[in-house]
Amino acid sequence: MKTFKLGYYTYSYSKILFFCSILLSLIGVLFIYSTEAANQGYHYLVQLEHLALGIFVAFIISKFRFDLIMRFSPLLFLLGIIFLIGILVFGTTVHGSKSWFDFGFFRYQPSETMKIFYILFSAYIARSYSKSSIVNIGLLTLILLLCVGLVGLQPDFGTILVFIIIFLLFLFILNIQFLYIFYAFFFFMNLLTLRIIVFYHTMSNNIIPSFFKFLNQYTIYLFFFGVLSLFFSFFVSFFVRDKMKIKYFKILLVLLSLFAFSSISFFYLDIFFKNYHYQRFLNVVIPNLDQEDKGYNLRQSYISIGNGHLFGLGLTKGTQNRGNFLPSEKTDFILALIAEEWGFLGIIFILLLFFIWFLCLFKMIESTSVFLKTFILVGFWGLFFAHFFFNILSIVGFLPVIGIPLPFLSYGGSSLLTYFMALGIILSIEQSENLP
Amino acid sequence: MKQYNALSYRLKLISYLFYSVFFLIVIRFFFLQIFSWEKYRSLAEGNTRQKYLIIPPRGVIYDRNGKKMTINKNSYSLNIIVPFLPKDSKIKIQKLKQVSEYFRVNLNFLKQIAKKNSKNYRQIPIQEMLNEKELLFLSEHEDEFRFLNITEYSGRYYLLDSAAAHVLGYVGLINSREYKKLKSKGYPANTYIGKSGLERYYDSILRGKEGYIYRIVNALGEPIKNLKDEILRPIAGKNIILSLDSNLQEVVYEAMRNRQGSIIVSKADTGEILALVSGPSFNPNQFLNPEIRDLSFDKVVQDKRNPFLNRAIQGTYAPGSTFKPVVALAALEDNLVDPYKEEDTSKGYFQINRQIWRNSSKHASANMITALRDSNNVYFYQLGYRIGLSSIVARSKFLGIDQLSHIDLPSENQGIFPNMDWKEQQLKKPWVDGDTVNLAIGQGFLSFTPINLHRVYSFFASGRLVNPRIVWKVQNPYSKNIEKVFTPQFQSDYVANNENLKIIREGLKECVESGTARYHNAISPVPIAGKTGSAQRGGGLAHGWFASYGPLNKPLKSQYVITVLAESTDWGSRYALPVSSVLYNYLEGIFSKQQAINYFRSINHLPKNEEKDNQ
Repeated sequence: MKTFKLGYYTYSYSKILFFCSILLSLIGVLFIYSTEAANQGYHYLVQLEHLALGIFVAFIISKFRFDLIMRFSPLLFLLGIIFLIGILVFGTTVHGSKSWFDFGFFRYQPSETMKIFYILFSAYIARSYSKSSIVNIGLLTLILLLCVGLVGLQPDFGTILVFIIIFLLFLFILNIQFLYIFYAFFFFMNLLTLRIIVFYHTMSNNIIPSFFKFLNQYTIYLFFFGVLSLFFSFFVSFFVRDKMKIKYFKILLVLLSLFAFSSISFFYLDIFFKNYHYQRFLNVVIPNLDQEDKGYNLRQSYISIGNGHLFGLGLTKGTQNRGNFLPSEKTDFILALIAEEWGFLGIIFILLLFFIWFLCLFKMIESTSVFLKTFILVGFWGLFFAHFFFNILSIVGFLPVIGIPLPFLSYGGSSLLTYFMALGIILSIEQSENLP
Repeated sequence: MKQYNALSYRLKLISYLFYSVFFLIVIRFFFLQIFSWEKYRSLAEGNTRQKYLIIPPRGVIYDRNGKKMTINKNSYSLNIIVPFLPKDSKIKIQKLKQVSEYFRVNLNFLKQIAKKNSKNYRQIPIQEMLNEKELLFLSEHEDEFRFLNITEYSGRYYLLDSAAAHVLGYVGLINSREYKKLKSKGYPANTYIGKSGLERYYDSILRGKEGYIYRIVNALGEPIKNLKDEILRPIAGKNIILSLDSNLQEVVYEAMRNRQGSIIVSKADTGEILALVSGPSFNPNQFLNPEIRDLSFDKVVQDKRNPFLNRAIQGTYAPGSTFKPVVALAALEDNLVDPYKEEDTSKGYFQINRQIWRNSSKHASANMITALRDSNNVYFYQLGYRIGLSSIVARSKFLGIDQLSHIDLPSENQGIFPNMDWKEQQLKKPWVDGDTVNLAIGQGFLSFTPINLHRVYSFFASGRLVNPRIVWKVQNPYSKNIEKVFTPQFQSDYVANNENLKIIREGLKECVESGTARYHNAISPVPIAGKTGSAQRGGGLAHGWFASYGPLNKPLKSQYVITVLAESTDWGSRYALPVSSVLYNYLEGIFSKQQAINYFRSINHLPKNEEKDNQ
């Protein structure tokens, strides 16, 4: 059990981790109460039930032996895949996404628990082969594509992003050259940027500022330019392979071909992305563009945060909260609500809790000697950090509003359950430290 | 082992990423919550605190006898709050269509407003003077039209209709240009302000102070539970009491009803304006009703006779012979002439080198008094030439001819008082003696407003240069106490030599008794003194002047000064003189109001109406 000494007392990282998680969840319950104090809502009680259930589940899982969990991980993954397929047939549609099984008293979102199964199964695969072999990475990519493909059909853009972030972290840990990770990143960004530019044009045909008009021809020639640069890069690399061994030239060639690939394949992006996704990206880049008030959410989030000032307006007293101006204040924008009612000091307190949380897990990763455990813990770390990162950066306007909940604070049974399942597994790993 | 070192290196990189993200987030929250919180606080207030304007009743205008000249009618205007419109564009258009049908508003105008103000929580006025049917409709369908609301305001109704339009002015919705200018003085964007006349000049007194209701609402515009509205009560505008006499104003207006010109009647000693009329006039009550407002406004604007021009203070005319007493006074005060010396004027013209100025009638000889009596041009040509420009300029300045009259009405015009510098600047030609000769009989470049000439003649009557004034008292609307009393203001301390003034007065008296204005005696027994004049123009008939004061058999306290300018009436004695005579008759009680009105109707070839009901 990993511990550290502070003064006369000895603390264990896992206990602090657990303590912070429960404290954050309780703060979340408190603010869910704050949103419905005026009209006698009951969601905070439901969330409290979720929390109790989560702690119970974490306790149960922590009693399982870690190698047992690993042995069952292919089965769990298969189960998750079956659920994801089942949801496409039997699922309930909420806000345009078919992501929920509705049991009446409880709405279960399989893509949440799938994240855990995905991490476990990836670790299972990565253990079986030498670390950075091509087969290993190919299999990991295949697993990712399977998950992302199924989630993309719901479609749930936020969850896709979380999967991709975890995958990139895995690649990073597997000691793959930076350049390749950079390539993957470049490919993804280029694809998205091009698509958004085209969307910008099609959406705003009549309100577009005149200097953007050239984009029309740009998009038409983009495809041909992509094909052309693809042939060019293959051609050149074939001839100069042996003679010129300049590294940067190679890098340039790969970038060129990636650009070519992305400019061709961006025409197929629409399978996963809906128009409102592009719209949200655009709202971050050009906030005043929207005529139909699509940037309303982000603007209200800014107002709530700024309205809090240093000390906040007090629990249940936020005007943005009481007037229902802040959208999805129980889920995605709960931190904006906290910012309004507890102010900057409250935000610092919340951020401090998260900081301690991530630091503790990080210390545990650093002190683990078995690569498999490191791999799983990094996966969990990435899972929480992706949620944290995308949620907060989107409510402060650094990223588009994607629709990812904030760990522990946001309302939601499936996600809270997932977090505590992960905590249970972390505890299980901690207790089996002496085993191989 | 090497690989494991590589792993810890990578983990370190991840931790750096992690620290920098936290740092970034803290900085961002600091920026939003500490650095620019005020902006977001005010935006948050804009979200929840809906501000509704309460317009206070406008101050009532009373005439000198305590009779009301304006009435405040409770009126309701319709406002729209654009962000409360339905978000769905089809339903939005449908709602706007309904509004345009029920409340007679142009649909395109509504669409434009909705497009421009999508994030503006301000109430934007779209219709005024709602009728009972519309009010009832709105109160029945309140839930369907949550984005509409009503402001009560005092619709201004003028009891004298067109008769006092130029003096009182009218009231209207503040426009964007005025709002920009007055925003710093606390004027709200959808209030009513005085557009012209006294309504504009005394707007800050008449309007009072607006109040507000702050309604605390949620995103749907519904009141939030347990949060009470805040009310800031309005303060009613103060009443003003004028020196104007409603009856006299109506009589005077009758003389200018279908003519172009101006009549001013005031007290000789204090400068109290009793009546001030500019013709043609307009009916300010027509601007009240939105159904006919635009049409009637356009009609007035397109009228070539320019009814909006207040000719009494904005029209500039050559004074003609009415300027001669000023020249005479200049010569007397500078001791440049013996008033009783007979000058030979038998030639009937005046000559400098080869230039000749003719007189229309011939007189064998004249001294100053007979020259004023007969309006003898030759005498004044010689006099002006003799005393020179500098004397005339100096004396005119004492009489305030080159300055504003400082009457309490907005946008008064200054005429032209020519001197050497002026001519060189404007016409690039040097001043010649011929210009001085023209100036001596009030022709040439000289021009000024009727109110300015009026002040000069009150000087002849009283010996002091008193500024004309219309508003004399300000009354508290609640306690009815007089809060402020204005005292007569004098333009300068200039006092003329009494002997010299007597000679001028004698000349003006002779002028009415047996001179160019003797027609007065055929109409009126009231002894007055005055001077006719005609302002010649390039083409068409000259403008006729008659400026006078009287009755002479009464003390100065009960003497009046009347200035009449009638455009295109050729000679002052044609129209301006008989109008003045009838007015003296009315003022002295010789004519009743109806008699005077009928007289004016008959000389203007208008049918004689039944007596109008007066409230």
